[in-house]
Amino acid sequence: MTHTVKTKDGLKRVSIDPITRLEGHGKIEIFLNEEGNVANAYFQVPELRGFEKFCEDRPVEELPRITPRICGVCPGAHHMASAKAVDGVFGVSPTPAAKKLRELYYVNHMIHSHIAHFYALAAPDFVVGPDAPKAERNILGVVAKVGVEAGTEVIKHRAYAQKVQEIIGGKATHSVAALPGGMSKALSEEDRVKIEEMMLSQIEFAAFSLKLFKDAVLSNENYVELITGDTYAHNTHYMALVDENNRVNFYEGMIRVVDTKGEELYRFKPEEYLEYIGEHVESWSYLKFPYLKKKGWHGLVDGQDSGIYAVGPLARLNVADGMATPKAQEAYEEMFETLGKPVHGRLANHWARLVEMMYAAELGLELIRDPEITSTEIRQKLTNVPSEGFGVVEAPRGILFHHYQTDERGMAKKVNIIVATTHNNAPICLSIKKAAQGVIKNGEVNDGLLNMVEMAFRAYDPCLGCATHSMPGEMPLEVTIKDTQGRVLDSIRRH
Amino acid sequence: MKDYSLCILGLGNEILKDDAVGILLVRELEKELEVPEGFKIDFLEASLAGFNLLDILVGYDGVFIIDSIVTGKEAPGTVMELDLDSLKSTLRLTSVHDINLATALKLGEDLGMKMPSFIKIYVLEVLEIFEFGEELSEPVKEAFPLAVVRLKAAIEGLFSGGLVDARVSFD
Repeated sequence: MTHTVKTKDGLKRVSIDPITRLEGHGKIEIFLNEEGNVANAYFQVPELRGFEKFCEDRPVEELPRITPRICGVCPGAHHMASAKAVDGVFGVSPTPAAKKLRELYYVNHMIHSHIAHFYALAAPDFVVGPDAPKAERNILGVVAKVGVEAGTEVIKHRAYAQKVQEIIGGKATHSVAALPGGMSKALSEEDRVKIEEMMLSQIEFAAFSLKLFKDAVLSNENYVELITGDTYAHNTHYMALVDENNRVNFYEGMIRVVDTKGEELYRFKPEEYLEYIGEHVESWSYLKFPYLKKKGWHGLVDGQDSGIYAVGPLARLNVADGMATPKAQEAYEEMFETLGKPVHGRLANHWARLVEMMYAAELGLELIRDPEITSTEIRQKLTNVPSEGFGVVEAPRGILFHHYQTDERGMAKKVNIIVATTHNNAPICLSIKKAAQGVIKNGEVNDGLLNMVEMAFRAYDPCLGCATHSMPGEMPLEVTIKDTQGRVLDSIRRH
Repeated sequence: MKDYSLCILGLGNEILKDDAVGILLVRELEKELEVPEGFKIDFLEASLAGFNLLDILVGYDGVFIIDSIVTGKEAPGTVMELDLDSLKSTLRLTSVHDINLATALKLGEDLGMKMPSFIKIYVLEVLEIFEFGEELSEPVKEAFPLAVVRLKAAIEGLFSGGLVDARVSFD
């Protein structure tokens, strides 16, 4: 519905029913069997075209500035993955100071993203409560619950993390600082002091957030059941970057895969990814389904024999043997003591995010106190003929691959990017199917369908923009339920 | 008396064809608008909303936001004024990852931050937002100069007294 009235300045004033904007939909199709129970559930996203082509024949060193524009949500992750891929293309490693600056920038990217996700998306369900009226289940409800002072801290620390990215990256949103072989700008002592204060404050804030979550969740049996129960659990494998001691690392390392029991399946270098990751294509989805090649694709099923793996905060903690900083290690141990390891319950992603927030803050403090952080030796000379490079980082939502090939002049010829939401495509479909199975029985659709489905995919925080190379808008959600003949039985929309 | 501080904010993605139009319009307005006495105007660009809007908008007395929209019902290039209730339809004023504009403004107020008391949102109907490219689609390109004229007129009309009266509530 579009309502139009003329205003005195001659422009039309329009109120638009959100349903009219169908593009950009997250679309879920649920197919029922003859008994009226869920046979299959598909999660679909619209396709955005032409990104690889857009990059082709551009100087490859421009890609760290172009790829962050795929998406406004995690530009820092693309900037870093792209910079590392370009390092690889030119066969050069950043200087030690440049690498530390990049990591300092990147932990702040993580902090900013995790704060936004936790307080805007997870806290409404867990701090305000999953049964609270919908009107209160938002950040305003969270502030009403935790108080204005704590609410102000949320905004302040998110802004701190943005500020550090801006100081190091040149611009907070679309950073320009990383260049092949290093960084374009050194850190001044004046800025170093400012950042040190902010990192100290972030550690306190991470401790506050962890306590808030534990107080709200662990004191409530229903919440614990939500996290540990079967509704949101899937026995998948997990993939993430680890350091040489198998601890979480956001910026670099080996790719480790653990199985459904938490045992190591593979440990490989980023440039070997094509040997380990296959991409399954379904006719009904634009989004590919990556899977573990050596396990094979056996359809949308979980279990030890399935090739389906998940990525993201929970996957990182499941894959790792620990955290590289003390307070984060404590929080890591507490989480797994409470939930067991590996954790298959997807809602534990929210707890994992907070453990990572602490790690990022502690690592940030370590880096800013490193005497080398203000060094002006921030760029290596480029002497090699450009060819091919791989850049892999842990984005806030999971592992991110950039793979570039160039001609001998350094013009991009092939660009392949695999983002977290694509890695998680199959697990998201599994989660939606299971949530739907819980609320659709013998053709009866429970009113709670949308909420259940929403909580299922919210834990992954899927980034449809990135996954399809589009920008994310609001994701109106449309759920269609069909019978065995494909006839639509019901259709529900969330705006 | 202190100048009235105004932000004219263009939203969009510069490499996603018509999605760039909010940003391009603000660049044109920056060239064409004469800042009247008693006003201080910042012309800004952003590619994401949510919490980010809170950072950008805090401290301003008033704000004009210019974004793109696909209603499929208006001719490409049509300029419309959007009321706050319709934000969910815009490309960028809502975000599935964090909060929408109305929530951002209310949150700012709840936390005692100085949020703009005047907000106007203009959107331009666009066509191609699903393919990467740096060119606007032909219909939007053709309509662009007229859109600049209409937006300029609308904003100038408000300079003469309409700005302070048009307070909006975010409740």
